Amino acid sequence: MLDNLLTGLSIATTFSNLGFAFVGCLLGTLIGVLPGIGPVATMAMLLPITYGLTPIAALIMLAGIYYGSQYGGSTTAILLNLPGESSSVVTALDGHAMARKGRAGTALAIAAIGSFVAGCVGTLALAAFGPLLAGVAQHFGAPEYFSLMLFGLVCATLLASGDFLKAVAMVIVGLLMGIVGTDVNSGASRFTFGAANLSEGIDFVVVALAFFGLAEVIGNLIRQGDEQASVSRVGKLMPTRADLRQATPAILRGTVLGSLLGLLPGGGAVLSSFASYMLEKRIAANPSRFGRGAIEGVAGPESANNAGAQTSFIPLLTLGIPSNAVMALMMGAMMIQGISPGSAVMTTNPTLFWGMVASMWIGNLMLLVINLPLVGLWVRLLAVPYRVLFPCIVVFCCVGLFSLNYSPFDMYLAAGLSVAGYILGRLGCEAAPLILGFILGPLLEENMRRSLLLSQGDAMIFLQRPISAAFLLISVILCSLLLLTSARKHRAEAFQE
Amino acid sequence: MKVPRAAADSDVLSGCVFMTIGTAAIVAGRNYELGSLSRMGPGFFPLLLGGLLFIIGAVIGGRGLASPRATFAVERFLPIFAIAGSLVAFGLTIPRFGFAAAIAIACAIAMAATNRSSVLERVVLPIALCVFCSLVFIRGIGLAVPLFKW
Repeated sequence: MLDNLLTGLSIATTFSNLGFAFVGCLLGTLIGVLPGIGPVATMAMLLPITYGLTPIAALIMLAGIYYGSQYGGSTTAILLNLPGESSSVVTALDGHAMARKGRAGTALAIAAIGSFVAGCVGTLALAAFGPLLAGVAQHFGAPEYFSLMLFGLVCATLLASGDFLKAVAMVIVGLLMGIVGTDVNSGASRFTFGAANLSEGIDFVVVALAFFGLAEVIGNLIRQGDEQASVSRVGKLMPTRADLRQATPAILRGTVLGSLLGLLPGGGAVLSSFASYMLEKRIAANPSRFGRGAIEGVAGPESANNAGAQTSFIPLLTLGIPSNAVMALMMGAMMIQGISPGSAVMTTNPTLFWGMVASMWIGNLMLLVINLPLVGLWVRLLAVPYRVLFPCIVVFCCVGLFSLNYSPFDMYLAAGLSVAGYILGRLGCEAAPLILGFILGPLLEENMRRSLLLSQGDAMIFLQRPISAAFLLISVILCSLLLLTSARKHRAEAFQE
Repeated sequence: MKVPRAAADSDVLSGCVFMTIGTAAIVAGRNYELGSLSRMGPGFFPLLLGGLLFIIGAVIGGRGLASPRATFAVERFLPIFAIAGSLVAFGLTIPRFGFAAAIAIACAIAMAATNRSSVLERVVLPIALCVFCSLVFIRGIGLAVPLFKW
């Protein structure tokens, strides 16, 4: 492993790759700081630009945007009491309370240090478990993949923050959208309605930008919240020894929890931060301190979300299963570059895997520098009002959309989908399950067909293969647990906490 | 006009939306060959999904009818039209008038969504974005789109 890591380091430290990692981290911090634009939309916007890059450079930059946004999101949460990213919602609770007490600098420093520790551990976990899992996955055939994907989709819907049934329905809508285009097996056009523009399917950048970028903008404009919140003063950055003593255990707990939850399909940064906050509150000697500036309430979730962000790469790089919307986008980026995500990455393209792992570690180091000494710069950015920001977001989305295929049709499609996305969101239907279904749809169908071809039409094949049966069994158990007990109610309460 | 509470419930409405999409998938895919289990045709998967979606939609809708929870309402329509219009305008403008005009028009239309911008902003921002995007995307990244066209 050490050899591999060294090779990875030598790739990640070439001048251009360092540059791309830096650009990714910088952009990630930027959009993390700015409320109203998240990593999915940003990565989708930049995707067309990465066509011309080498695969490793493209992935390094896109990955940097994701974990960079985890750092940046905490800045806004602490100073403005607004989540810059959805994964820093809980950071705002105690982080902003600390800021009101004049300890914003300490909160920022602890968040950055926690993120850095977690990022390092998460990266190590990726390096250690990645090859292991990939080894297991090499023995997977079509039935195993089918059941694994189904399991992934079930987990993603179970862990979605909204209603379970609606999440399932959104997955199916996504699967249906994935069908649009020419069927690879028979060559038949499906759901194209005679439009030549649809014969190659709906581009997933269009879906991602419409649902995560533009629908969000529409929602923000309709809500029209307070335009200018007051930004707290940063104050002294260095945490005291007492702060560190209090925060260190929380950082470690958050790191472990986040690393584990990041592995789950449907997990990742958002879930990790919520879970960590609940854990810290539960085990605290004096839970009433939470919400009033408890440093553990910043240290735990901020570490957890970064650890989760790093380890959520594991299922993608080893099994080829994206666990959340960001990973679905990474998967799209890999496919555009001609790399099929999965266990083969490790064997056929080891430099890509190890280069990425090494670059993540370097990226975390860069982020420490980008965030702490330069915090004043980001604070100034927060002064840009949304009325100026949103036309820029819309225009960048337009450019990103058009540069995909140079086709006005994509613009019209995106216009329709963003309105649909907004309305579905208002109906309590989240976009994340849809995008997972959309990206997994063709793979799911392909593996189902292949399995049944293998077994000559006997659906029992999914139960006769032990690994496949295990995935299906766990999925069924999880679903029935949720439907039978009042887990749904509990979950809703947990997320409100 | 007062809408009956149950009809505006978000569960009922989303149930209807999913049932409609499910039905549409089945209807649009009715001519695709189903094939057999061992040799699935292109129509099998869509039919399966369409049927499932219809059933889940019906359950969600039924649940909403039984106990309405959240009323669906859209407070303002202007942002929807402005953002969608901005995209459509960009698509219509760019083949005829080129990149620069498309950016400026898309920006100006998007800004119609809010009443908080001053006149000065409404003039300056489209021009500024136009210059910035032209420099970054055409000069810098080299998108193969004509900057101006008449």
